[in-house]
Parts: sequence; structure tokens; C-alpha cells
Amino acid sequence: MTQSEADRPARGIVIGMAVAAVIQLFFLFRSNVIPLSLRVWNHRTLTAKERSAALAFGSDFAGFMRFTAEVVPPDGKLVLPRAAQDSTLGNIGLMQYFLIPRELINCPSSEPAEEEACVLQLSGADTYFLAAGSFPPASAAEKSKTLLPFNAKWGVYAPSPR
Amino acid sequence: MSPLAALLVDLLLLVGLTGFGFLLARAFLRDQPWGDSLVLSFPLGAGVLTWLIFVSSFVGMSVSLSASLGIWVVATLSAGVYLVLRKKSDPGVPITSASKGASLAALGKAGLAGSLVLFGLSLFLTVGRAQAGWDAMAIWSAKGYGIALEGSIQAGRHWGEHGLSYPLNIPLLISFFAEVDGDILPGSKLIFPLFYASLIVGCYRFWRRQRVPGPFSSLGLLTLASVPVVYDHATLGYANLPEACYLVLGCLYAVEGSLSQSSGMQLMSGILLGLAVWTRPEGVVLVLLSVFVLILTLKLVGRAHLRWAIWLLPVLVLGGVWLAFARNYTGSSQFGGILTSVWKRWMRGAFNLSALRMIGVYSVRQAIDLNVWGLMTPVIIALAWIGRGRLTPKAGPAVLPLLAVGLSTGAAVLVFYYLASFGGPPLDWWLSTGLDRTALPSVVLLAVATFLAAGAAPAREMAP
Repeated sequence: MTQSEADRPARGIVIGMAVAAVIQLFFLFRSNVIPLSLRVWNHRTLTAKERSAALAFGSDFAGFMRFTAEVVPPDGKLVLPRAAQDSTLGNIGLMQYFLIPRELINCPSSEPAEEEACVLQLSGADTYFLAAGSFPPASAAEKSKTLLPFNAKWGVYAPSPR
Repeated sequence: MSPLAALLVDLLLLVGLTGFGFLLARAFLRDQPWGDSLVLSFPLGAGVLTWLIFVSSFVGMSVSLSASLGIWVVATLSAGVYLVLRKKSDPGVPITSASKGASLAALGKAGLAGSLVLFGLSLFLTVGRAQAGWDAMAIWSAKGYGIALEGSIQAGRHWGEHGLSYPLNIPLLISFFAEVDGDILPGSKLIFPLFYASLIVGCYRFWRRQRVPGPFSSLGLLTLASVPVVYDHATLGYANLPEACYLVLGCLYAVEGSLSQSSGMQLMSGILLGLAVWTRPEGVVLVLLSVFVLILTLKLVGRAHLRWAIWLLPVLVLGGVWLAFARNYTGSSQFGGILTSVWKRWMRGAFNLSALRMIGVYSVRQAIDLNVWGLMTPVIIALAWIGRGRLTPKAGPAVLPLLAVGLSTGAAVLVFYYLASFGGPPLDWWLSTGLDRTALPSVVLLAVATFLAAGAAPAREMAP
């Protein structure tokens, strides 16, 4: 067997591998690199956390996080809806990433009477409520807070001026 | 701090971690080419330093910039002094190419160049997309920022999801960036392309040490580097790719260390496997299974030259200290709750067999989805067929153990999902959010084994 004959299987496999790599690169660029690059480029003027928020949850969400961080002071306490009410805005771990160093808490129950009692109890001057959907019950929250709307869906209840 | 200044500080931090890791790798692998130490340097330096900081915090030291810097200085100087004292080194076996065809060499160079381009792009994409995945934000970064804010690993209890039931390697790494510049870029995302590069180049160096021809190894490198799910994780910010890096490289060094009777490689394997436990909660199960299967298969091929203490002591120390600490917090983990639920359902005779079908169908669909695993499935099958002559104990002493670990850890991942079907969120949610990334180490190991089997086959045929 000559050297070139012995090399033939290796040559065939290597060429086959090259073809497979090229096909795979095509799919990688089509499904990941190009769309991701475009999205990153479109958000290039935003801060790191705003890019995170915009790329994961959309521009409205990113704007709402910026708004909330402006309204709630770093040493403030923010009460979130429960995760069962809003799986994103109610997730303490996720919201901590966007709103650190603020203290984030949930009410222990989303059962209407207990939730209302919880909101009434959390009436302190350093406590804010993130308003989303039916949380917090407006009748209870408005006893000590004022709603600062971000848009039709979301807002923040901040302590009312005395 | 301006973004440019933050970038310089972040790069300095990465150089510091890599430099420490390089000295450590040189100390343990002094008879290997320095390129192999360079490949391991970032994951090794990062993992060992975060573990040392964890232990220091455990005994009462704060996790501050000055404390971290102090530990880094002491650890780096210690590794440097050890290297100077043991200056005598063996240059090791030079890597030679089995194929010298000019056209194949050009393809090989194209493979290396393509991989380098992908790595370069990943550096921009990872910072550009910031923390854009759920776990990256809700677990790893929230914990890292919380630890930096409070100066203690105990901050992990109330910052981020899952309390302290998840290992702290990645959060502590992120906390370094939060401490030095508030992670404004975020520079912490640069760690993921470095784990990606270490993983794929580590596989490439393994093939080359095993005498797989250069062009074939280079194209193998490019094929691994361009698998969509692997590449996505190079920029996503999840801990699965770092874990895959530690587990896969740990297994490669275990096999090589046993075959060549190298204490240094076995020690390196033990450290890497210990760091896999220190990176993801399922790491302990995958590492224990890998160690068991490696011992079994290396004995089967008659090449189990393992120095038990050197190999397993680092796994026990690195993983054991974390597990001893975390045992108080595992009750809050998803997995602990699921196991309890499974046991109760089994006792009632409910075995949830429909879940097995769903897992099987989903796995097959994902395996042939070009946007997830690319061409990995047909490539692995084709290479296993081409290299079938090496799937015997005598002809493939390195191939069989790696194949067995890939298959067994892959099976273990499917068992995780079966168990998950008994409680918590619906099974399709579990599968869609985690199957591909949990299977990363298994698929990469299968790819490494079959590339080795097929790549070495022509050389065997050429032998007189």
C-alpha cells in the first residue's frame, strides 16, 4: 500500500468533517450569531442592566426597571407581587439583580383579605409597592401611598407626602 | 468609572486569575508542554481562588476586595515559590502530526482560524448581551452582587434564588467584578468565553496528545466550537458550561493520567473534578458517577494505574468542604424537594411512565435539531462507525472510558428529568429550560471519544 492510498480514508474523513463544520457554522450564524449581534447593536447605548432587561424581557420592562430604581431609594423597601401573580415581577431573585441594593419582599399570601392586611401593615415611610395587575389592592395601598404610573400596566406606589 | 477604565480593570483581573492558574498548572503538570497549562489556567485559577475565598469566609474573613487580593497574592506567591524550588522539568513528549498532506494542513489551519474567530466574536457578544438569561440574573449575578455588597458568603442566603443550596464558584467570580468596578460592562460575563475556550481547546490538546492528526483535530475543534448550544452558553452567563469544562477536562486528565501512569495528570484530574462539584448542584452526582465509571472501564481495559490518594483526595477536599457547608441548606433546593416527592409517589405505586416517553421524544427531537446540537448527533454516530475498530479494550484504552462516562452521565441526566416529572413545574417546562444545557458535558465527552476513535483510525491502518 502506498502512502497516498493509506492516507485516503483520513483524507475522506477530514473533508467530511470540514463539510460538517461549514454546515454547522451556517446554522450557528443564522440562529445565533447574526440575530444576537443585531439585537446587541440595537441596544448598544443602554447600560448593562438595561441591556439585560431589554434583551430578556423587552424595552418596556427595561424602562420600568429604570423608573423603579429612580423612584425607590437604595435604602428603601419594595414590596413585589407574589410569583403566582406575576412570574417575572414577583420573582425576588430576579428583581434583586435589577434593583440591588434595595430590600425586596413579598406579602405572605395572595388571598385577598390577607393581602390587604399585609399592604395595610406595610405603611412605613420607606416602603414602596410595585404595582402590577391586581397588586397591590388599590383600596389598601392608597391609604398611605400614591401611585406613580409608569404605563397602563405598571407603576410604583410611593409613600404619600405628609 | 468609565467603561474603558472598567474594561482595563476587568482584563487585569482576568490576567491575575489566569496567571495564578498557570502557575498552579505548571506546578502539577511540569512534565507537560506549557501550552497545556495555559489551556487550564483560567478555570483552574478561578476555581481554586474562589474556593480559597469561600473557605476563608467560612472561617470568618470578609469577602472584600482587599481580602480577595490578599488571598490571591499569598496563593500566587506560594505556587511561584513551589515552581522555583522544583525548577527541574521534563520537556515532555512532543506532539507530532500523523498527516502531512498540504491540502489537509490548509483545512486544519482553517479550522483553527475559524475557532479563533468564534472565540473573538463571543467576547463581544457576551458583554453585549449582558446577563440576558434567567439563571444568569436571578441566581448567579444576584448572588455575586449580594456577596460583594455584604462582604460575606452568607449573603447568598437572601440574594438570588435557591439560598445557599447552589455552589458559589460563579457567584464569587462575579463578586470580584462587582467589587472592582461595579460590574458596569459587565466584565464578569468575560469569564464564560474563557471557560468555553478552555473546554474546546482542552479537547483539542487531548486529541493532539493522543496522536490524532492535526487537520482532523483542528476540524474537531471547530465542530465543537460551533455547536449552537455550546456557543450560546459561551455568551449566556449560566454555570453549565463552566461545569462542563471542569468535568470534561477532569475526565480527560483521569484517563490520560491512568494510561500514562502520570501522578501530575491524576492530581489535575482530581482538582478539576472537585471544582465541577464546586460549580453546579448536580456536579456532585455527575462527578461521583464519572469516577465510578472511569474506575470500572479503566480496569476493564487493563490500564487502571490510578494513584487513589492523589486522584481522589482533591475531589474529596474541594467538593467535600462545599457539601459539608451546603448540607444545611439543601432542604431549600429544588432537587431535595423533588426526591421527597418521588419517594412518596413510588410508595403509592405511581411510577409516572408517561414521563419516560415524553423525555425520550423530547431528547430525540432536540438531538436532531440543527439549531440546538447542530450536526453533533450524525457526526458522533458517523465517527463511532468509522472508528469502531477502536471501540475495544485493546485498541481503544482511552476511547472506551470516555464513551462510557459520556453515555452514563447522559443517562443520569435523563433520570434527573424523570425524577423532576414527579413534582414542581410541568415536565415540558423542565425539559425546555434545561435538557440541552444539562447534557453539555455528556455530549462533549461523546464527541471527544468518537473523534479520538475515528481520528486515530487511519494511523492504525497505516501501521505495517
